[in-house]
Amino acid sequence: MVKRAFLIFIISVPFAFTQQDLVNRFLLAQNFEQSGEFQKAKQIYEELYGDIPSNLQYFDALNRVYLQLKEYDNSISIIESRLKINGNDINLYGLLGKTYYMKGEENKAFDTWDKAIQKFPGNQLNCRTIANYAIERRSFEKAIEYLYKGKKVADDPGMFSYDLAGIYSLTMRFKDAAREYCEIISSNSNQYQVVESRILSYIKKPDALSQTIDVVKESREKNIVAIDYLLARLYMEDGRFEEAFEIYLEADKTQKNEGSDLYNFANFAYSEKQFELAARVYNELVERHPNSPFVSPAKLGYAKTLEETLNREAAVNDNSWKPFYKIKIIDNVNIEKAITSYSELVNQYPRSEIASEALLRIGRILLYKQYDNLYAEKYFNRIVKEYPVSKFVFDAYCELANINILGNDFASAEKDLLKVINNKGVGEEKINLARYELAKVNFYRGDFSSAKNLLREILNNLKDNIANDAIELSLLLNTTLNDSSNLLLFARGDLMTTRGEYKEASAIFGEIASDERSFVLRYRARLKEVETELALDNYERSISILQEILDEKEQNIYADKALYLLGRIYQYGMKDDTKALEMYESLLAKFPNSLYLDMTREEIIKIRNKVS
Amino acid sequence: MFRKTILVLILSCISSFSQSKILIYMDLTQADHLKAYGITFHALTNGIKADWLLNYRGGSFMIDYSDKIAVECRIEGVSFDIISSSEAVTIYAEVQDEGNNMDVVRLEKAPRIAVFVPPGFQPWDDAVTLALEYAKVPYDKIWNDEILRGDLKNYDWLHLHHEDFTGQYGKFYASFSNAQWYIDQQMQYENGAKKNGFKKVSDMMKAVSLTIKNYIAQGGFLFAMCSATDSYDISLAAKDVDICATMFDGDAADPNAQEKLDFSNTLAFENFKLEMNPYVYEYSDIDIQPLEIGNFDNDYFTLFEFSAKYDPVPTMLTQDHVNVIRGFMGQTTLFRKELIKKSVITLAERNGTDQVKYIHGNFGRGTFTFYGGHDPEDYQHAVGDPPTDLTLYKNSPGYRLILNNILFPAATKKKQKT
Repeated sequence: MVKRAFLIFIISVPFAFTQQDLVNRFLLAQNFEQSGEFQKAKQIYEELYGDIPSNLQYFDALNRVYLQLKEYDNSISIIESRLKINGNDINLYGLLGKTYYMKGEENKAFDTWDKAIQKFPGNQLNCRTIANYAIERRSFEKAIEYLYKGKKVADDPGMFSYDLAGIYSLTMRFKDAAREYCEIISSNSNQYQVVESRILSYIKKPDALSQTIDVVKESREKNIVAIDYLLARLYMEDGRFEEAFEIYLEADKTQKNEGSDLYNFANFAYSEKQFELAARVYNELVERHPNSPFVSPAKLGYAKTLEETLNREAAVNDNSWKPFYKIKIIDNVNIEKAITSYSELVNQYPRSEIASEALLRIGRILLYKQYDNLYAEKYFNRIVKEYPVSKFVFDAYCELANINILGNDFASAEKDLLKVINNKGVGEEKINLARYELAKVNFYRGDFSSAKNLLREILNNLKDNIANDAIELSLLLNTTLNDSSNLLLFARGDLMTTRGEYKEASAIFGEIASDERSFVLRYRARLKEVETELALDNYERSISILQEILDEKEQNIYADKALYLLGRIYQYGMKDDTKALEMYESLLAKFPNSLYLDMTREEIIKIRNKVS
Repeated sequence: MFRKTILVLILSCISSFSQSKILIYMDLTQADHLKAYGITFHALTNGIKADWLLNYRGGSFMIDYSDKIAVECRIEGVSFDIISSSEAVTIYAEVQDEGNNMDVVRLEKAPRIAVFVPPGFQPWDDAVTLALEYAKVPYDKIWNDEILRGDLKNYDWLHLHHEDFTGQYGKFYASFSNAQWYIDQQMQYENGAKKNGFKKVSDMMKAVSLTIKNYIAQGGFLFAMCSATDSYDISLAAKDVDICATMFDGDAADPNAQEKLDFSNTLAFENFKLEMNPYVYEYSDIDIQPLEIGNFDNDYFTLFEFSAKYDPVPTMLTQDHVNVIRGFMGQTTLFRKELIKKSVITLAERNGTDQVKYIHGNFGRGTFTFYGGHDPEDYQHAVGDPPTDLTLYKNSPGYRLILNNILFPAATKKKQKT
């Protein structure tokens, strides 16, 4: 037994040493290869392969290094010799074709690959293997040919369709790609999400969308709802919302998803500012699926779309170029529709955040679109009383403060605003807004020092949106405090302006402007007079006052603003672009350091673009 | 003799001084340096001659007064003075005084500008197009197809930015080979090569490089930035050798590629060593590496001062309101001094280092200018970064160097003073 073991040891030791030597040499060659010393690597690989031609690792390494050294004939030689031993190895045919291709003999490469596939008919895996070699050489046409062959004999053609579609989209053959994708979801609608995401990944490329739509349209078949969804999704990408809606309506009849597709579509249409369509979709959902969990958000969505329609209507008569203007009262029928929708939500979902938001929105519509303060106040008060923990309660307090300011009830306005200011959970931005409103309340009632203190608090954070307004009011107070009687009058004029009583405001500002003892405030009041006259559409009067300001030249610190305003009156009010250009160019020439330069340049460019 | 010359020059100018002039000063008081180039360019486009007052108040422009130009300056926010003819004479006399390192260069005709960019390109990924768009200087976009069919003859000035002339797709393979934009870009190049009858993209790019070289030889002005600088010269050196790894052109690079490079073909660089590793984001050792730059806070480069009267071209190219400028990186950031050919003029470098930022040279009847880095106001511009908003950098000295290049071809050639 011992003898036998010793004998085995004696025999196996040299063999083990030989094995270790081969491994070491192979590792050395690999190191040479990695460091780019291909000749040295080749030498060792050739020796190793010569010693053990059956070793696949040596063969691979040697072939690789031949290709690196562009020794294509050597590569062909070892592959062919290996093929003689192992003629059924499809990879060897792939490799042989690859070498021919790299050598520049494309036809020979294709012949080799074609023969390989002919040799193993009916083997879909071989088709895929050879197709991968063709893809690696970026010979996409050939790859498509092989994949089609594979697809014909495959049990699961979808596997090949993904590959084919991928190559088609890469080579910008979008119609062909779409055909493959349609085939996939026709046979397995569970693949819809994957297919949709793949198509959307390239749909922005030139022509991709139109070509894909054409094919998907052709592929619509009965009972394959996934194709319909795909087409609707593509229509949405193309902005063809109505056509998409029709498809969703049809699909909704057959699907049992409680209108979730309709809801998502409506939200998409809303985000794309297709408000009328969104309203119709929300409505449809509510009618078709009255017990769906999507009904309450759909109703809120519907009401919001109606409100957005109102905003759009208001924007048609846009006077926003004026410093002060009233939104024109719009069609009462539409307002009524929006309010009714919100009211229904309040009734149907009492004590909910949806109801609270609906009340706030009704109040705002009444306050800002119908100027019905009393009626609006009721809604804001309901939020304060019935929804004290709602996130909308502080908005309601701010709106109540506004109403109280308009009604001259400064004490109540202060109370409302303090509710917001003293609640730390509200958020800094809302608190600063309330502080600014309270500063204005103090300004209106002549308590300038309290107003200044509040403004100082806001200015601790200059990044806040309201900071600019706070600076402006602060500047007014700081520079004109010694002219307190006129400042009080000015505050009154400002309050009149807030209330939309422009005629009265204009008279007050005119009075201050004519007081020659008032220094800074006089100039400022004159400009305010213009602004309120503009709100009354008195262009001639506005122009005449502005001309007087301009005649004072540098003596009037608002001369540049006056010129800018003149430009805007001509441009937007009187539609006289030539005259407007004249004013703007004059501003640029006379006031090279004005704050209005950038805005003036923008207006000039706007007019020029319009002309060209 | 010298006094006579000055007198003759002044008298000859007087005839054209019957009217006042617009002086667009370019020193630190200028509100918008970049748009000033656009104003001058438009004046030339409209047949109005302009004078470039080299080294006078930061390289100012003097244009015959017209209401239109004055209005344009105001609209664009470009500072200027309206000066009388006698004030203009005084300025010309000061500029042409032999004692001052200044000179006047007459700008005659707006050059026709082409920018080499692929179809579908967005202007924010190229500092030059950003500057041209901002200054409202018109330009055409051209690509390989146009160059190969001979369209370059229609242009005076060609700009290359960060396109790769070696056919290695910017050497982004390691980081971005799976990114959709990379895949699309490769496809676009391959289709282009096929369409133009080339088997490989690298072969097409070599042909493009040679066409551009011929364009320069025949009098064209080439301005390249970022990786277009070194990749262009590398492609010329590799005219007869395959330097691209398998993933770029389907076959291995020539193992002896380095030895086979022909530096006599290049414009600016020689004796450089190629970076043959396809996974390394670098073409060669021409580019200075971030580690060599050191602390980014200390990355500034200095413009050389040239004699305006004896070296007007380098003087034009280095007109600026400051002479020390904040550095900026790119795929190619700075050039290694020892690899720059002796015939090439260094316009700017990092003081006390072997790192050169800005170079210029002649080839045939034309010139080339290479400027390292990607975006002068975005220190490290990465793929996908948002565009630089030039309204925030109206006085960028780094961008001014780009715009010097577009006006320089408009200059009338003067006889060299000897």
